[in-house]
Amino acid sequence: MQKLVILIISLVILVACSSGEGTEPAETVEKYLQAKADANADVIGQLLCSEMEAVLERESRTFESVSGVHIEDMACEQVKDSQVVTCQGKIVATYGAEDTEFPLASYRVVEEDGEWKWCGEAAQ
Amino acid sequence: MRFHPSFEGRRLLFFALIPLFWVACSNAEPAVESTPELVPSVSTKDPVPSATPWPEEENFIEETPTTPPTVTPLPIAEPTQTTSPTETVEPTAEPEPTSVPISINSMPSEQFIIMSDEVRQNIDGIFANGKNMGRDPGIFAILGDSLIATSQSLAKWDSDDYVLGDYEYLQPTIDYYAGSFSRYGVSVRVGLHSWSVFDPLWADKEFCLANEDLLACELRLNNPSVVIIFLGSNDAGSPGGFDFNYRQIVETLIAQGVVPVLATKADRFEGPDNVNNEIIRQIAVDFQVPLLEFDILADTLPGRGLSSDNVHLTYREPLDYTVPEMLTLGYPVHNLATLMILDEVRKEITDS
Repeated sequence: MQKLVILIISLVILVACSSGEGTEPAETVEKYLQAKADANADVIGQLLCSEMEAVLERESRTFESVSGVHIEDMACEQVKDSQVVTCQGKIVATYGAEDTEFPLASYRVVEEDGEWKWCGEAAQ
Repeated sequence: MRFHPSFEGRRLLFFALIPLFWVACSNAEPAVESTPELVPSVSTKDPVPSATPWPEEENFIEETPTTPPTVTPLPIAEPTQTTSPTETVEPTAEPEPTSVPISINSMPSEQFIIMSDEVRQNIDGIFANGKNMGRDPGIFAILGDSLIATSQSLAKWDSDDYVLGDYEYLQPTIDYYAGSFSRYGVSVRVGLHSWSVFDPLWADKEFCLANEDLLACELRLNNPSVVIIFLGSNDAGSPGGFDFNYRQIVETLIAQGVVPVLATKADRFEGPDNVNNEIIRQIAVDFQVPLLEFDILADTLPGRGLSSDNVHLTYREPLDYTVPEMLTLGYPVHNLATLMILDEVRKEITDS
């Protein structure tokens, strides 16, 4: 019985540690950028930090009137021990027959109510 | 029956758990070090948008490579280092001609250059404020989309490749704002609409700061005293949003000591109700700022001066206003009318 308890505790620690805050900020940023490219206001609203709620509509509409918006080669990584996530890749939007590229940058994330939120750009 | 693990069993369990914890918790650290190929990457090879694709059309020619738009927005000196209006070199001290054709296609300029006495007074006030803030009186900037992001547009005035003809009286304004016509700074982008003006994503990361929008970035880099706004062709489906954002743009410029020059457009991209032009007109009235009524002037042009995509304008080389055909084409008339309103603004701010 004691062995079983130790095993369960170990598994709990294992799960807790492996799903720690190391990967979540980057995932949050990637989801946010994808939602922005998709003009998905619901997801943007869920992932936007409280101090930037006022720009929800702007964030949701930035690619309106555009076709074929997609993200190429997105890879985001949290900068160690910081609230900064740096991404490479680009958003590509098509206007007429021409592609316009928006290189991805570094973004700030904050934790609110246990959830990581996208909170604007961060200095490089 | 209670379970009593032996000493050996406990020791085995203890040593088995140590690497388990170590492996598990080491994953909590960001994996930056383990993936060195993921480095910050915001470089962009094309700081300035190239022209939007043009339709193949008989009276429409390809861009001339000899007169490209400015490829690199050049950072300008800090506002405190800016020359004052009195230090700006006027091209000529001679009195400017007064008996000149101030019409296009028989339409008097008062019908497409809307600058009442109240607007002129307001220009003086904004300009004085900008002067105190160190704005450069000899520089204007452009906030616009693909309509303007082409060398067929205002950039022509920075070349020697034009003949003004009866509009020679505008030459002093070309000289006064030399360099601004061909400078497509960070506030000119293909596909730009009012929503994206304040979205830092649209600001060129090679030149702009984090969280800095393209308008703020252009004001910082270029330090203009005048900004001409060519927007509205990409704003469809949200007149309320267009109104809100356009007002925000105008408010921002005025607060920064920059004279906004508004312009209506020839296209009906947002729909036949022409709502965006109506919004622009109302904002010009509300803020008492200059308005170029290209929408009205376009009525004097075949097909309203629009190319086959119904957004961009028609053009033909060379830009020679002694040739009557010039005043039947979209870009030549657009360029001329823009120069005319700049001429009025220049006279106002230099006289004030």
